[in-house]
Amino acid sequence: MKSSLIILGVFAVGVVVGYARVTPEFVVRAELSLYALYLLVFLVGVGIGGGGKAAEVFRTISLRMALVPLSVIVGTFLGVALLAGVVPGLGIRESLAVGAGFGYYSLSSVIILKLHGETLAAVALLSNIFREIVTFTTAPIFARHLFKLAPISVGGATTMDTTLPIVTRFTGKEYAMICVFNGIVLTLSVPLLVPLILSF
Amino acid sequence: MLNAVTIVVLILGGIGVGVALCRKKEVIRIADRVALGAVFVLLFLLGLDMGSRGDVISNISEVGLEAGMISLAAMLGSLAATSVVWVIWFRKREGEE
Repeated sequence: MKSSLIILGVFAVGVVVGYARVTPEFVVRAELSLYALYLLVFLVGVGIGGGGKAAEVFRTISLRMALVPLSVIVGTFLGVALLAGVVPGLGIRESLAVGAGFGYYSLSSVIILKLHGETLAAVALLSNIFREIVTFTTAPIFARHLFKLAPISVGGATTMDTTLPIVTRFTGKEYAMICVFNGIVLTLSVPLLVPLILSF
Repeated sequence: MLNAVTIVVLILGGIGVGVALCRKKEVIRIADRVALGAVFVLLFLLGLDMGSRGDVISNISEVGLEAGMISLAAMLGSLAATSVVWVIWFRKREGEE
């Protein structure tokens, strides 16, 4: 929660500095964000592989466990497609690409920036940060009053790392492996699904 | 230009390196810190890009509204789909435990 607010702050500072036009042109043109993105995804991989959880998760994997991230993907797309069908002016392709971030705002917004444009990237950033913040704030209520998988479903890709502690605190340790597996599958699906959707 | 294949190869390569280094907790911790730094750099540059072009700022209320709606639809859709998985494959076993 604190970190997503800090990140919004860093983003806001970037907007102000960009708006003031005090940065030299080469910083904007140098494709720095592309290299930062490459570094980030590599290190996310190192984190998945080196955390020791990946091996444990793949030892305990079962079919019903695999259904959890699958339901998040299907449900997200159905919900967003329904919304885009109802609200005029909301493109279905664009909306699905934003939804396919599954809460992973840094990766999805930069991919969308490179493949589509800065306005949709801003939508993706806010939309996916919002998903993370809602997960932080609703995990206790959803786990108690809806069902145990509810906070894992809402959390999407974030249940692998940032929201893992709060979610497992309220679902119980027996759901930790499902959390990590759900997060890993959804994290890996972001760089596949977002470009795929935008290619149509 | 961005390339989805490059990203997937980098993640998988990272996982391989991570598995190889998983005994070296210090290295993994440093990688974690650097990843957070990369997120900061990315978001700052993203803000820079948006601020310098101006059309995001002039449409900020529309951007916020769209983001909120898509986020809600995504989460409600996920909850609905996962509730089916819960009822059919999880709830029963939970009761037995």
